[in-house]
Amino acid sequence: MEKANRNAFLVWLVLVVLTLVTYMVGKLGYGGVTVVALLLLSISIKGQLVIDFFMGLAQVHSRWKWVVTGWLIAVVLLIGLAYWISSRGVP
Amino acid sequence: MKRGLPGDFAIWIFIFAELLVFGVFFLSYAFTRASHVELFNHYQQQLNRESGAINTIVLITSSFFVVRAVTAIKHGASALCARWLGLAVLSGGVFVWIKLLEFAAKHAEGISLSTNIFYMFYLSLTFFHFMHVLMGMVILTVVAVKAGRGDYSVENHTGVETGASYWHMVDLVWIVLFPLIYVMH
Repeated sequence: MEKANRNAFLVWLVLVVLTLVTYMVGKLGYGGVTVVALLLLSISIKGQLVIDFFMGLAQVHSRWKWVVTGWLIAVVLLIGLAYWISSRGVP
Repeated sequence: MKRGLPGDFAIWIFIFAELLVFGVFFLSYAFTRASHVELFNHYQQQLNRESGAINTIVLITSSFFVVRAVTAIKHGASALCARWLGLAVLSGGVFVWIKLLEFAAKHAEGISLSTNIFYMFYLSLTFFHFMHVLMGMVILTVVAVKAGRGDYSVENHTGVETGASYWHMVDLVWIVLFPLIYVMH
């Protein structure tokens, strides 16, 4: 129980730190393709941590768990594509 | 390694459907923005990023409490499980309160779904998520009461895992929503 609780706390800590970094990026007004790419990387890390350690899917041997990870990857990549298109000024 | 997904499989069908709907919402926002970049960037600056960030930490923390509840019941500690779930529900209440203040502030400014396309997405997406938080709080409250009554055990705690899985989905969706709507430009 101790190890599981410690791991959950460490995951929580990483999630909080990444959230604060995201907030500061917004507060300082940073934008553009590189910043969006870094924010999407942050979303990917946070999302996968929730999937693996909070939902507990890292410990699951089932093909269904890839639906959740696949959703995260697809959403992040397609949001990235939309922002890349908008950065090129294509309507 | 466990063979199946945690909790009742039926909740996972529901979770997959919810993720699909939120995914379509997110992509609609992102691709619509590509045609209205200036408008989206301008009105995004008017959002309350502080409340968005605080609510992210509140939801992440509530998910942590739910993880502790699941760990507790796996070790047979029903009362402890109920207490962690109670804390998660309280955190959900904090999220709801902060969100209501945010909605009230926008309403006072005369902002509605028809103000512009950015606010249409902002209000509909955050309200849709808000409703899921309320539903998650109801589910976790029921599970907490049952845990407090001793209805779950080391061998039988599917109900706790089912409620936990739903709550983590609500958290996962907000983890995408906050940077996308409040920060990214």
